[in-house]
Amino acid sequence: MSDEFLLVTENLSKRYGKNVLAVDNVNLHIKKGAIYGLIGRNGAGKTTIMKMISGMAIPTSGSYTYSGFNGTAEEALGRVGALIESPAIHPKMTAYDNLKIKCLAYGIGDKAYINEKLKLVGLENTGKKKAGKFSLGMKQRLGIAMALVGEPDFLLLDEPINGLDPQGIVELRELIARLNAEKGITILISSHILEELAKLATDYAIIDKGRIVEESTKEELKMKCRDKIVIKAADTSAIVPIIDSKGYTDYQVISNNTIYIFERLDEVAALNMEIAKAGILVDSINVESSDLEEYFLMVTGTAAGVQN
Amino acid sequence: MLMNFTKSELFRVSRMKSAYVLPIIMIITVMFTSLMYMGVNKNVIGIEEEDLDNVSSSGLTVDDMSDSVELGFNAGSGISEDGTVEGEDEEEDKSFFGEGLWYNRSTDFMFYANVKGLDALLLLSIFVGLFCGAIHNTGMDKNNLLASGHKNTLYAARAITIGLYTLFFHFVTFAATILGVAIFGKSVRFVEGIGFVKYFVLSFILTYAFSMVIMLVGTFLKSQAAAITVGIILAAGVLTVLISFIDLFIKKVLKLEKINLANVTLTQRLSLLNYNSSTASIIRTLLVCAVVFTVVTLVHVFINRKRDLC
Repeated sequence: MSDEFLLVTENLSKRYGKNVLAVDNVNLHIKKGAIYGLIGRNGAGKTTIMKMISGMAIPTSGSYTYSGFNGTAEEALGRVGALIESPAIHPKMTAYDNLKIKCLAYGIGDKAYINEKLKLVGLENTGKKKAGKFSLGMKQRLGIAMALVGEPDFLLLDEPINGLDPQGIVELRELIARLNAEKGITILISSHILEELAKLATDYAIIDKGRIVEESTKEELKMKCRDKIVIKAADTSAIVPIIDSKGYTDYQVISNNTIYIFERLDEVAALNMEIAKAGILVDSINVESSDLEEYFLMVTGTAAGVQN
Repeated sequence: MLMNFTKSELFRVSRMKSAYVLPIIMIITVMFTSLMYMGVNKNVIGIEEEDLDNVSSSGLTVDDMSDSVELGFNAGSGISEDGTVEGEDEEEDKSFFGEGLWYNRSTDFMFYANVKGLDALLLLSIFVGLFCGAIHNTGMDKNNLLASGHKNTLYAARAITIGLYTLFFHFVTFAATILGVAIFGKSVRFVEGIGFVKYFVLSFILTYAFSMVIMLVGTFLKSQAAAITVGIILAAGVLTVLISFIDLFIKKVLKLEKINLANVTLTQRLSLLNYNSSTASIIRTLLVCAVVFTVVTLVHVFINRKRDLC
């Protein structure tokens, strides 16, 4: 495994019972220092992937490897912090006591350390208020504080912005960005709120029905989401020389059937005529623009089509 | 790591209200037992100490004795056919408080009576059910597991924590017994010597084994309510009838005369254990506990290996 990556999964699969394949041969490549966004609908398999790579669920098949950790896999897991599904907090205890339970498990009994973590997530003034009385946002922040105990190198955040109000979302986003920038923590964050992920993530994986449909960097995804001329034809290889001859340089052959052209978008009619002159029939040629959400729907729609 | 987990779990126990309330209930129970048998005038109860001893030595529990005492009350206040209260003309001291049936008994005898009452098992079931139930209710293992990746270490830490709490509870019963005897008895004295220490340790091991069974139920069913319910069923002896039926079936239908299931249950061992227990009986008790600890541990290891955390 390359030193570039903190975590690589290899054909990771999880089956529940005989009929439910929650995760199907997933291969993730998470770079050190990245904020890796796992995009998928509810039930796509995001949480199950997180549970497996944090040791909470046993993979049915496949494996995962952490690099940069010395020692055994158990020690590697000790360098992981996680907030998966709802925060695991004791509702009848204070934020301080909840953190203390986790700290003691890590061999940390320092009061100042606990207070520092509470301050980091803005819960330093909760006093004797029981965690069960916290708002959803406060509970999420307490969950993150607990995930940060032991100074992890890798943080797993499963739908952390679910149920938060706009201000809470902004605060959480700033906190995650700060943790990544200041402490160098690699973060795997899942969400189905793509707009928020787009503001944070440096890398993405789109997951649908337990399978990774696409893995790309922010730049690659930006490129795919740009306004573009989309040409669909039975065989695009014959079209490429025409595009070249017309001086287009910023284009991408997506597949045997699809070409994206990212420049001179107002010349689509002229380009269509040139292709027709060469005796090539296109199925469609038009200008498309999409944001991340549209792109996600398009990609997962295709994936569903393939599976069907 | 085991030490860290144990500290963490002990801290969790220290924040559980039930960890304080249940010992208080135990103290109150022991105090009432002492009051009943040492501080209520035996003439009012109307049962002879020898009769109560017979009940006691027959292997029944304090609850059984309580029934007998109740009978004694009824007998003592019985009204004859001509409408006169029986024994009315006797000149015995009939004041309610006074020297009770066990007024002169030793502290170790009262400790034995309190342990045999199985009230501690009932209260410990509630504690262990709440302690283990919180693990599943909160999903806290998601936090703990990441500290080491060793589910079995976590199990060991919990087993140690429950053991320490059970020991604490046993000492609470002991301390409450001393207090009860000091208040309602003649004097605090120990007559069994090393036998008391032996009984204390053995009854603790049996109680601990019982707590571990409740822990297993809580883990296996992932349910606080189930653990507490099973604990109460076992401690209250509800299964006695079922076990007796199985024993009867084994003896009469399968013709296996020597097998006696009732004899190897934890509650029965605790009821039968006394200061005069034979070596064979003690060994049988230890064997039953060893089997329980082994089975509970193996099932936990199996669950840890097969089951996802959440």
